[in-house]
Amino acid sequence: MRWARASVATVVVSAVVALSGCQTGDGDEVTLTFLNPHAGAYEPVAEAFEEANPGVRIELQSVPFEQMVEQTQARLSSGDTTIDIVSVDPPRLANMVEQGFLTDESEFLPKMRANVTEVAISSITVDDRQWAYPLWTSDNFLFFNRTVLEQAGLPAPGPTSADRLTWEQVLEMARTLVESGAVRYGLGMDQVDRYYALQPLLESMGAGPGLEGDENLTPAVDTPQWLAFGEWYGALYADAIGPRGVDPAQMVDLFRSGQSAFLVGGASAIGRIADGDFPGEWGMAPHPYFEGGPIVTPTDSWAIGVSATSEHQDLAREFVQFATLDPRGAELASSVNTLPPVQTEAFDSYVDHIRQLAPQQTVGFGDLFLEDTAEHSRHRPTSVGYVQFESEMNTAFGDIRNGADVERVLADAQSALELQLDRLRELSLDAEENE
Amino acid sequence: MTTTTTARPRHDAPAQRARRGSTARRETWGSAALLLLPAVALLLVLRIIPTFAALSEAVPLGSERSPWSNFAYIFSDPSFWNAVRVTLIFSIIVNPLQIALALALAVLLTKRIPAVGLWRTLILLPIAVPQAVSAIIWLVLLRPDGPLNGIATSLGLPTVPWLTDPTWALASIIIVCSWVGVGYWMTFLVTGIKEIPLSLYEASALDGAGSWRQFWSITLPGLRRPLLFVLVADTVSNFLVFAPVRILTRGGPQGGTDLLMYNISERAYTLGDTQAASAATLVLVLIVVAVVTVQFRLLPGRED
Repeated sequence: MRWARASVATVVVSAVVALSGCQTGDGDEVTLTFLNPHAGAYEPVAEAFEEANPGVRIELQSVPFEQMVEQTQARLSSGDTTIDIVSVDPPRLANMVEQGFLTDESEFLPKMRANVTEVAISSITVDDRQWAYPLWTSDNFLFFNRTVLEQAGLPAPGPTSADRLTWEQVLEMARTLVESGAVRYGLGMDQVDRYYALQPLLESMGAGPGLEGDENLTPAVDTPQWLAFGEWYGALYADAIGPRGVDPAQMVDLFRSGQSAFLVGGASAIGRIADGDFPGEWGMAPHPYFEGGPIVTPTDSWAIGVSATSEHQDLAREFVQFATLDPRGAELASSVNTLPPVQTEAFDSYVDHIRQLAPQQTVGFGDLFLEDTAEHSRHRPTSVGYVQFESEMNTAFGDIRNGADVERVLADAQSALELQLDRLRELSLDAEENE
Repeated sequence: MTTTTTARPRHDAPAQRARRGSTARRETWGSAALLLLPAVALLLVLRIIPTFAALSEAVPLGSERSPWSNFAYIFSDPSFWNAVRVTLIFSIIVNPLQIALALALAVLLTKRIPAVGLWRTLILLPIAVPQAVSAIIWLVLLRPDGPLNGIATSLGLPTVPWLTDPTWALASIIIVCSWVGVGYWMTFLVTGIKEIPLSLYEASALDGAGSWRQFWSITLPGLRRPLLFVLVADTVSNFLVFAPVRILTRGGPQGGTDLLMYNISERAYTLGDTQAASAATLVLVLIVVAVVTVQFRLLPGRED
């Protein structure tokens, strides 16, 4: 019987150890867990908050971008109380709100208004209520390999909005460079196959955003304009101007190592390109548009929310407000992966920071950014079905890049979305009836 | 016998003996229960409860909707049927392939060949690499401009659209799974071959049997039991392949590698539709049970 007693003791001891792991440790120390897809990005802001609040520890749980949706869905839908703070992608917000993942932050609207732009607040508003705190905004730019262009006798694009190139001009140069063997690829995209990067191209070509109707729950991705875009996108890769089989995570490196003449990428690429040993000179220009079409640029970026199942909501809120609404906090939260904060004061210091990272290349960066945001940016459609829409479309764009028949891919995506959005309506009706 | 009975102390009456016997039995049962407890508890927590949870999630009772509405939904979804089709094609190819290769290697590595330990280690090595890590290595290897196509080009061979063409992508998944699986299943067959008495081979050699004849008449019949185990376990594990698909192809291109496990996880964790995911899980379990039952019928493990 001695071993039996021993094994019981082992069970008890391990249970105690396991339970103590869940607790906050000695004294009044509290650990806040922050689930996010930005490894390393929040370390400075977390340290500053910990210094100002002794006894509070911020645990940063960073997962790859591709897994963020799955992790959020799996953990918050199971009522995981160990997550206090969570990164929120604005177009997915409506869906998260519908599932009750986030706390209602509407009472802090005046505080938000005093610190961040109205455009940013609208990105975290669902049914006239605020469910998260906007942190960053975004825009895409055209990065180019200046050395390669100059060697081929091609003109380098200018930095201001007035110098903006058309896609036709960019592809002509890209084609020339690839055909002459100066570079392996003409054009890469740091968010290749993702709706975020392709929506501006679609809309500049005259296509709709893909979701329309009441509450944006009707798919429209098989229209003639969508087909035209699909053909254009497929040809880009069929003609080997863009690389097949290279995923988003590898795109900046492809440009940074001199293998691609152009890169469509966000501001976070600036730091990464400036960091590496770029072969020769590089530059950045405004996001192109299609000849005869409107200039359209992407916008919005991650926000931060408080988990509805957190046991430390007040403290979590304090941290989130520090990281988003406080000028110093927002500046720290934007210092690592060089994404532009929506906090107005922090944005100015962010522009200074970017200017220091790459002084030659970022002349006029701040003005261009503000002009794009104010005049050319389009939000992604707000819809509880955005998750379904984006997943389906990202897959469809990937298939088109790999050479699938455009008409078939878009027709399949259209019918898959009709089925999924009908299903969504059925499930939400059912949930309402059960309430 | 009588001596033993009379030698026993008088006070050892039958009733006491029975009591002592039942105490001993109770103790045996007690320790058996205690020893089994962790396994039973884990079985309950990791298998039985989730199965019932999936069932109650898939069949919504007490709702306005029909209890079978989730099944009706997945059965109306072409992507679900595509996943079933892809999973069956995958299974039909990958299982015989892995078992044939494992068997061939097992036979080869039980022969007297130089540095046999080294070969065995090399073949087993992929098991030690976590699935996710090996999938990432393969992702780089199989890129259109990756090392494999680089070698092909330098040899003057045409490049292969490993992960960008639906058929080749499924073939790539089969290769990656087999790279890990073959060595693992081989170990069971090596053990099986070593248990076959050497005398059978010696006797048959005296009778003039060649190694081919020995393989068909001695090795294969002698391996029936381990082969049945390998067949069933390999089939089940291949029905549950997930990580390579998630990392290499995400079910694409054009749904060409959308194995059921991946389809289910997409439904549950990307789209948040746990009800449809549970219904699809139950269908997968039914398919696995049906296939395994057929395998048991076709390949009896007993010597007959």
